[in-house]
Amino acid sequence: MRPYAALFRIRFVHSLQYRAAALAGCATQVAFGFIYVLVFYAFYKEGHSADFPMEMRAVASYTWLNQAFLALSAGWTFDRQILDSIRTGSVATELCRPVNMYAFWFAKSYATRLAGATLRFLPVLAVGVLLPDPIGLSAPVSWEAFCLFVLTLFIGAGVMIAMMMLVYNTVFYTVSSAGVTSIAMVAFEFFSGHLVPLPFFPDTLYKICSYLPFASITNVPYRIYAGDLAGTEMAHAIGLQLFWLVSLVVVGAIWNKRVLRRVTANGG
Amino acid sequence: MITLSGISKEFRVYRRDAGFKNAIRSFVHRKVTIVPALTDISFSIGDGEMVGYIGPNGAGKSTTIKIMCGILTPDKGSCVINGRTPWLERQAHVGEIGVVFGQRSQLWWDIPVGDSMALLGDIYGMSKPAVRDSLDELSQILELEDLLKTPTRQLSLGQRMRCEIAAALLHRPKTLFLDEPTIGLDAVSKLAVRAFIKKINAERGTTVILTTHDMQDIDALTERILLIGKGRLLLDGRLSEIKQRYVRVKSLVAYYSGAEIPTLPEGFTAVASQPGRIEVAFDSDAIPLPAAIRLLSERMVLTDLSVNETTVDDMVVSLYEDMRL
Repeated sequence: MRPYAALFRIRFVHSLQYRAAALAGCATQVAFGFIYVLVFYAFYKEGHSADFPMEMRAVASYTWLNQAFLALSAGWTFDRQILDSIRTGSVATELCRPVNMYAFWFAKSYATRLAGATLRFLPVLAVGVLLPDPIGLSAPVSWEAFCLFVLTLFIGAGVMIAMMMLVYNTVFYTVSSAGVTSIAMVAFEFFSGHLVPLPFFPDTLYKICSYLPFASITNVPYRIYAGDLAGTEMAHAIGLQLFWLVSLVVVGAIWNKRVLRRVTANGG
Repeated sequence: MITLSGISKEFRVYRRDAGFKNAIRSFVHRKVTIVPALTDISFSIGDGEMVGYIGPNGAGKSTTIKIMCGILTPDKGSCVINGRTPWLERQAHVGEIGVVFGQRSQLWWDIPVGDSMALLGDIYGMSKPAVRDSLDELSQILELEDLLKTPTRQLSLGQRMRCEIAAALLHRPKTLFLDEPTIGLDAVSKLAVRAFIKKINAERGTTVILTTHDMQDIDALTERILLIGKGRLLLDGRLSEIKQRYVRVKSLVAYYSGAEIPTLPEGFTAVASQPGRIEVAFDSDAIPLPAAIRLLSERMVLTDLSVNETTVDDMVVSLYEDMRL
């Protein structure tokens, strides 16, 4: 485990140096938070509260958490270093190190995301807390819910990275990552509940989506915090998260091993 | 100990003629050409040897190195390095080798070199004092102290190459692969890198396998060379023996006193002539060098003399010609 822990540490520490990016990120996330929350608020004011699958308060908390921890759960930030190393063949030098490539990339991606979130989440949450009741960030419904929120947030990020590793594997075949990443980005955004929380989907679509690995990412942790996901449904969702984490990592790692066998490093 | 036998590797290349029509045609029907990159390569290298692996561009040098590093899997043949097959036991194998690819960097781009070294120490499972000892030793020879605090992206090419070599040697590998280590370096840096490689080979007994296009590298470093061309191993021998076969006296430059242009003995032809200086060519197989000097001194009052030999570069050109590369 030591090499992976060391890589994680160094990536984490060095990702913390991108302060300007973090500041810009905070501003963007706060702006997006306002847009989402106010659009939902407009709908809630016009309609009957019985028509909505979530309480306004829960939607607001969901939105602010989503914006605060976006670096952890954003489906459109692929690791450019990994994609480029496959395209240019500099993956060859990484293969000269006595490490498991899959674990190495996993640790690197996780560290970069966690560092990004560490720099951004506090200011965004602060803005959420300062806002008045229905559109601000509420306190977690209970201590247990808060602990489970933290836990599922980390598992969810793991599921997300495990899915991205599958994307990285395909780049070994296609060389260009443009096509597969743009498809993946839309899928992540839509099916994870980033655009609209999953309970707002039509019933059948919601049922299907809640079984997909994408639901583990945004949908599960933020709804647990807001108290919208509780009881057996929550236990079920956490079980599913763990299932997806384990199976995606196993499939990705085996596939990665196979794909490295067919590496051809171009030129020089 | 490195043993390769019967290693072969093919690449698939998608070819099409240039032009719009052909681009459309190949969209429907792709032509695949199988290009043999390596054919039946066999050799063995003992511990502590320094071997130059040479050949023209595209000969298969880097492919062989990549197979020996466990990055590429060959189609046929076996390769055993320190008792392991590289592509089957990649992780264990690469723990005992060091690799420098002159055209790629193995240091992390945006972090100081010292941090990269510490991370490499962790990756290779070294203890903190072991990392410090090795780094002290390396930074003394390579003069790294000032560089360790600088991020890799801000190093000059010569500085970076010194750091790359140190990074490849940090974990005291048994075998060091250098793929064009002096590419793009200035004269001073080249000399420093060569001196260092020599020292490491002598002090740590590291086996060194070197590919390069710089024949002075080969001349300064290796005793044995392997020549590869079009994917086949063409020659495996001592550099000194090959030199004996290919290095010839090309010409003599004689400086003489007196204004008169001397007449030349039989078998000599003037290549260039200026007052006081004449360059003559002769067949050194027919007239040995001492006899040639004696014959020349009979015709003129010699004040100085210099011998032009074929350089190692010329030697390789004639080698490539002989082998029809």
